[in-house]
Amino acid sequence: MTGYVVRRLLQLLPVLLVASLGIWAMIYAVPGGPVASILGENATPEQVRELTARLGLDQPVLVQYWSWLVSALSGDLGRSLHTRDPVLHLIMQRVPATLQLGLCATVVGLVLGIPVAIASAIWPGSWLDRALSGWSALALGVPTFWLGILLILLFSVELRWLPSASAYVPFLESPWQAFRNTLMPALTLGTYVSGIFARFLRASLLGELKADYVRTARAKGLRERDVVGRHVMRNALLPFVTVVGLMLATFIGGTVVTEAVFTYPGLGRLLIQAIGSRDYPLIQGCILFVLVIYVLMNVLVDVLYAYIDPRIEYS
Amino acid sequence: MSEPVLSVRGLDVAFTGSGRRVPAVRGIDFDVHANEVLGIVGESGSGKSVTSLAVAGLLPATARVSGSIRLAGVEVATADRETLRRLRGNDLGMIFQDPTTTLNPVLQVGRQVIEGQVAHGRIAAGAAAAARAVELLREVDIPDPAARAIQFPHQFSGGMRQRVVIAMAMAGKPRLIIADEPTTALDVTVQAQVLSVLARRQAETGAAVILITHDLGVIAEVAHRVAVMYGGRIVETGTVAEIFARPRHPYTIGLLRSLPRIDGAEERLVPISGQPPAPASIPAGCAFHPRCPVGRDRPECATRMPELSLDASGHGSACHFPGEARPARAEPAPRAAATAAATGSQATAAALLRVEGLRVHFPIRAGILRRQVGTVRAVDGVDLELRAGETLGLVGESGCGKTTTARAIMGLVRATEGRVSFDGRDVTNLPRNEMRRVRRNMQYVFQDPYASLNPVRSVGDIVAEPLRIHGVFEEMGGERRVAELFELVGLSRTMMERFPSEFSGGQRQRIGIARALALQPRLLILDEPVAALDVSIQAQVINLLQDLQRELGLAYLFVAHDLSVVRHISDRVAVMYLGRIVEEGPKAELYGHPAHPYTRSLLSAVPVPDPATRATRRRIVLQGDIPSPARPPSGCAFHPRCFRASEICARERPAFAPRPGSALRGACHHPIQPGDAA
Amino acid sequence: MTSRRARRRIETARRVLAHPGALASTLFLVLTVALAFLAPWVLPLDPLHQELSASLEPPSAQFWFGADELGRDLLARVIYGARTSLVTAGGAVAIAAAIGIPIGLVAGFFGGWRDAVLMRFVDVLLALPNILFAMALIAVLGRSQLAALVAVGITGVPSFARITRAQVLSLRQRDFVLAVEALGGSSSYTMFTTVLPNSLSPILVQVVVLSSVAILLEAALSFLGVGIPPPTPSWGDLLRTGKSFLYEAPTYAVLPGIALTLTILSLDTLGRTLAAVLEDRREVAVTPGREEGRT
Repeated sequence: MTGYVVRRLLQLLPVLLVASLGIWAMIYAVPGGPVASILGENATPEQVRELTARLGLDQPVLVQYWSWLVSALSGDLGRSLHTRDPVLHLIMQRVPATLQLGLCATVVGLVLGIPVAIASAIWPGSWLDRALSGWSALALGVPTFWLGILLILLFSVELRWLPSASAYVPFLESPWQAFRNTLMPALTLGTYVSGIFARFLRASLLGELKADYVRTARAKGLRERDVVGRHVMRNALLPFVTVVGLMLATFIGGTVVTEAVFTYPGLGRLLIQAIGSRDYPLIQGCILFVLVIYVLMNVLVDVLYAYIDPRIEYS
Repeated sequence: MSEPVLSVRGLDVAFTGSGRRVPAVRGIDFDVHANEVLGIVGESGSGKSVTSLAVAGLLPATARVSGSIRLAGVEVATADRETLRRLRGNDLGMIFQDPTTTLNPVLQVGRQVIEGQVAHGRIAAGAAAAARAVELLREVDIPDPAARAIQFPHQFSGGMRQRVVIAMAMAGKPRLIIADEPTTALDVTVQAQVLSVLARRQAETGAAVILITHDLGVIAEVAHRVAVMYGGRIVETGTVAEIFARPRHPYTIGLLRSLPRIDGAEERLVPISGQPPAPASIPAGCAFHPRCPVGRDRPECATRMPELSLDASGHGSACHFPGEARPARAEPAPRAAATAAATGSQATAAALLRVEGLRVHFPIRAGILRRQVGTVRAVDGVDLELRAGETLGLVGESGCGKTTTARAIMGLVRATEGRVSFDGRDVTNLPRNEMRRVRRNMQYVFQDPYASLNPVRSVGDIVAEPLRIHGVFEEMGGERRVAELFELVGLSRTMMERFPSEFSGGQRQRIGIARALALQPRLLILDEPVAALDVSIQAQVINLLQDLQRELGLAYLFVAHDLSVVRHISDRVAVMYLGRIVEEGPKAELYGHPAHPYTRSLLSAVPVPDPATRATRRRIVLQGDIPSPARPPSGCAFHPRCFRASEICARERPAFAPRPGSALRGACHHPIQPGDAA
Repeated sequence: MTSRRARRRIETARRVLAHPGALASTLFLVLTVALAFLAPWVLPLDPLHQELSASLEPPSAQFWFGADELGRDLLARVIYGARTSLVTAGGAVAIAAAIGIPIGLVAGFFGGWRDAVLMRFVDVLLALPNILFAMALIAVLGRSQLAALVAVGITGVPSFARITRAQVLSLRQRDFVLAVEALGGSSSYTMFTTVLPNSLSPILVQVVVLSSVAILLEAALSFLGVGIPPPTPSWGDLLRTGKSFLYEAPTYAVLPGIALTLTILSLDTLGRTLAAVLEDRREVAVTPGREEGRT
């Protein structure tokens, strides 16, 4: 088992290196280079030279990359150009908000998606199944930002029940306010997620229901609810766990659109603001952070799956 | 006669999916009594599996069932779901064909075996259930059952899995057991084990058994009474002795005549022309009449469906003209002439194909750095020789390496060691472009007719492809040559434009053969060419292969697991076990007086379609499973299962050498001499 | 021979259109494409003409969809926005296919180090969620229609590569591919004449699916303000502006969203129906039910 884990981690090493190289190199593609982005266009040659030396930009390219990478791994992602705050600090301020949104969206997705999938699988081809499949298609097809806009239109503009701009209120601090602020963003993102979950689980369940071992279970005289509950669900949930895990991994940076719609102060908003203000250290820091977490979570999901599926021998 | 456990009258099953009504079973009657095995024999589309599912009430919702099915006092056809559910597992146990998919891969085996009984309340969940599960596994000869019960299906071999399925089906001591093709997916020696376990458990519990299969040999070995099904109806029924000795229905007679026999003489097979009807298009009147030598042109057979009429002994056939079908005198094999010629020139003719010391090893890689931690010795030292016009049969069970040998000879797999020479020239591991020239003379026919033809090309294109690849299409006659090839294999040239999906299995196999013959090769390597075909179609293709060999002077390397087929078609036979040839020689000697214990066991395990020999035949049932080629036993690979093994067998690998006083060559430290008791 | 193949294609198309959902989707898409590209000649609408007095007017006889903050005809902007979306999607899918399919072919067919290297490269593209990757690329390339097209296209490469590779891997072991090798066919011959034609079904489905993803991604990027720069009309940008006027002119944000949603839904439906029909056809061509099955 540990061999498998180590092997997967080693496999992702080249990916991380190449990706981080790309992220670091980004700053050079900007016209004028990093110096111009910091000093602006009217810098004097002395200022340019001084900053170049201070930032170590006169060193060979690989050395620069290496030192950047090393300091990044030890937690120093540089400082924001505009606020002079450490990038990592700014990121960590926003992470809890994104996490809360991601978790709530996942919960919404599971609550909406799992019953839909089960109902569809138990009565395939019925009007209920067709209606639910239509609902899933809608959930997947409606752009999340438009759905968010519609919800704001309904709940904020028309009904005035909920705020149109959501603040981050930790659940532990004030549950009711947290609920009011997180409901719409979670519903928006969660609807989309429920579509994905429902579709995947439905297909998985239908596939398992056709399997020979289901016929065997019935031939033994098991009650239908045991056939579905004990045999089918277990087999279908196995790959489903990976889907949920991968979805969670996506949320670490993928909530950017929802955060934009509701001006929710998460990691995604931070990145957009950084891009808008050309704050390159912040942009690089955010993307690097998301990259590492996303890749690690992918590996985690793989390992988890290998652990729970008895068929997999991880020699 | 005691009360039958199962009584079926007028059973009719039709499927109504997608608007049409497709009949699967069209009015059948039969009984099964306790302690009796009823064998139901049929080919594709005969309705035998549907019958078994109907008895269990497991048909899908699209099935319309009418008639009466009385099982243990319950009328299954009209029972409600809960009654049926209680019936299953208590009074009825089912064994399905594929043990790999029959068991749930993510649940422990012990739990699966006992959960039916727990669900019926016969035993309490928990420790009592777990103990009973271990007992059940022990009853079917699973070694170390306590440890095995907590394992998962993938950790069992195929034969062991099927025994688990038997244990599961018999957990509730049901009065009726239905076994649907229980051993079809298993090797011959494993089949013998499983059938013996099934027979023993039946005797211990007194259950009635319905055994459904296409294999007449298994029927002859195991069944007491037989029902032959065709086109959804029972066309003949009777005791097993009667059916085999005095068959009455033309279909039964045809089936028996088209079977290659392991114990039989060299008669030419008499196939039944045409193919079994698909349920959607069953002919009017008697379903068999288009293929029937008796009823083909008789209006009565085309319009009226014959009834099954039983005589005093319970033997009956559904035929308008039951007296007329007589087993005709079989023609002696025309190959006799060819064989004589071959043996005559055998001593002098040079070998067309010679294989020396062939080894094919695949590395097993594991660990972080993917280092090689072991080797799969798929082929571990094979010597072969094949002369022009001769057929060498290569037999063995799964994992013995026969397919890998064939592919290595053909160059489709890289040989790790050894030498393959064709026509005197060394062709081992030749680079592709050089091998291409050799491939004009040496061609390959694949096993699965459904997978060996490119689905998006017309069959004419497919047969022409070798000509185009070698750039000789025009030179060899273009379209005309392709048409010739079609006719050579018995297909019409009008079919050239169609796509493979429009043909049946037997026809596709003929197309594959035509393709292999396009370049006029001298050697054909055939890898299980008839294994995927219905029995009546097998005979057609076998006859075709024999005719082609005679006409074109081809040499065949015939790889198969079916010993009867191999005996029928080969001149010489080689038996493989775990990557090595254990015995080889002229077929008469090999089948008649095998010296190697494995060959003996293999031959004795093959079910023979002759019930008269049932009592007298010596059956050697091997213990254990076939070892994995990644971890072959030391010394002689067969020694752990060998009934003649001694200490030297574990130490030293026997050399493959000729045996004094015999035309056979073999690798054994203790070969069986003609006078031996074993 | 070719006429038979053409007939099979027409048959497939007919079966797809027999589903009412697919039919409606196809009609809608045809209508959209027609409107988008024939608009200048067919409709007298100008997306750029400003009439400030009509700023943020609700839908009326003059402006069917209402007017935006600068008095421009919203319907015209939506229709021209369709053109932007379709062009971006088309270009993105073309890029993704042109890069992804060869990668999948080579990786799947040859295996070995080529497979390892190419799949690591694909993994790099998958190292970030799609939208972030695209945003990063645009941060480097700057905002322009071409940048959006390239960014979206590159995020589509992994799906084509993986699907092609999976298909090739499953086909490589099939007997009919081995048969061609046994007959003497070379690697490239086998790859192009035997493997590739049998891989087209899932690739075709992916083209449709990715078009829908591309349109959504482009709209999302525009909504975030990093997509195609103004004054080119784009659905995402319309929604972005519309949101800021949500209290004054609610229809501003709603109507372009309907167009976007319907387009995505149509492509999704078409893709799924196509996948189902092709899957059916393939299953018929493979093993018909054989009761005795010895492998």
